[in-house]
Amino acid sequence: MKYVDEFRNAEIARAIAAEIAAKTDPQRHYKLMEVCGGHTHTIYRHGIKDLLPDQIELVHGPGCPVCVLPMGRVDDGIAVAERPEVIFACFGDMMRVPGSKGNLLEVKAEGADIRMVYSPLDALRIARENPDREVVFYAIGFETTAPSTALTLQRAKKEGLGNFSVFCNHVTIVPPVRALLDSPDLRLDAFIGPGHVSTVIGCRPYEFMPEDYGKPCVVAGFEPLDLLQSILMLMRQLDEGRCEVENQYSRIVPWEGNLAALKSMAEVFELRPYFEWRGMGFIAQSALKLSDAYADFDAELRYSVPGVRVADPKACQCGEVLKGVLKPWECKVFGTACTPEHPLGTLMVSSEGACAAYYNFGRKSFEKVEVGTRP
Amino acid sequence: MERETKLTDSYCTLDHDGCIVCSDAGIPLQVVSIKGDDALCEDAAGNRTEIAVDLVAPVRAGEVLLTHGGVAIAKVRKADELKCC
Repeated sequence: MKYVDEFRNAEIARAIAAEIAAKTDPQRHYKLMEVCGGHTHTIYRHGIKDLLPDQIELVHGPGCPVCVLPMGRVDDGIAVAERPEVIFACFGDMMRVPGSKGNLLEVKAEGADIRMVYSPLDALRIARENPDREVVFYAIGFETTAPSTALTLQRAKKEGLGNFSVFCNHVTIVPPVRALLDSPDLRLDAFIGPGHVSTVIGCRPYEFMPEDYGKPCVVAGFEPLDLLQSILMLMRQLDEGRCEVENQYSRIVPWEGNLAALKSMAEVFELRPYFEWRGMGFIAQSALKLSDAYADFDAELRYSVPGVRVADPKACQCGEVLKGVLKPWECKVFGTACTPEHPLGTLMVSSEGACAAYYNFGRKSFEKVEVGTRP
Repeated sequence: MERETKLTDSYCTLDHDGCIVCSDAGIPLQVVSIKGDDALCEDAAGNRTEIAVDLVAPVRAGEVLLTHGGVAIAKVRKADELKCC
């Protein structure tokens, strides 16, 4: 296939891999973080790691919106979904994400009216068709899906739909990356930047990485050769002593982002003072809530929710995996008590989650690392 | 009969390989027709759906859009080069 071959061509992949190897200092250990869960998926699915020298370690970042959602926010969603007047709309597998006392699928089985949608606009249509019911959309995602929620709310306001509201869990990508860079747990050398988030926010927000922390960043696409080329671009920067933001995915990512989407988000959302991230604790100004102009559509104001902070199950080590401190297979319950069929933690639910990706595509090649021997 | 589309070989389609947990998968879709702020779009497998195109307006039939959660967030400048979510 013509264009797929261009981005998956094995010969070109081997040539890039050879160039990466040539830029690798055999005496040095490199830690590159792929921020986006989509990249994690591609790395495992296509065996990218197998093409890289042993000195290059890929560390999985916090860029899967379901994975970073704390259990308390799942419980809050369930509390709203259980209300008899509510039709609760959410994305499909969100129903399988475990709360402290079960998941949305179980609540649906007990009689709650929970409906799967592919877009917040589907939830808006349900609200139009059911004027005597309250429709609540459970919004999650980074800057890729936040514009769709913003646009939906703008349309709801324009139509004057009083029976529609949003339970907002949108998060932003830059603050958790900054938190990781400030963390003493992890020493990273460079970042593979999230491609599709960058179509919205552009490349400029990553300039703090080289400027404040001295870490290069390359915004990358999602095909295997995209990732290999991005890794090569990072290795060239490290080899030449350069440190800057580069855009490998220029065929779709404009440097300035999508100004219409940013304007829409600015009208509908404002930053929360702080928000809890699974495994990372509270991070300042890292999430979005509805602005005062859209307060009438805010489900958190319309309904009382428990708002309780719930700790992860003791056996669950999602937090350490999210921070890149542990590899998925180093978790105590990986592949045993926690599987995609029966997930204990969020990283095993989402196909972008590091554990699910590794369970599905990477298990044949993993090396068991004994505790205490990891570099 | 073979369809005529720029996305014939696309990897990610509306019903395949998208992460439905959060709809946080970029799916390239080709614009078939436009109706107000929405456009009827088609994926590589021939699945059709309505997509909100307010954030990338104006669009023309034949253009390829990157969509997240039913909303187009970017135009693909070189349509044939985007094959993956």
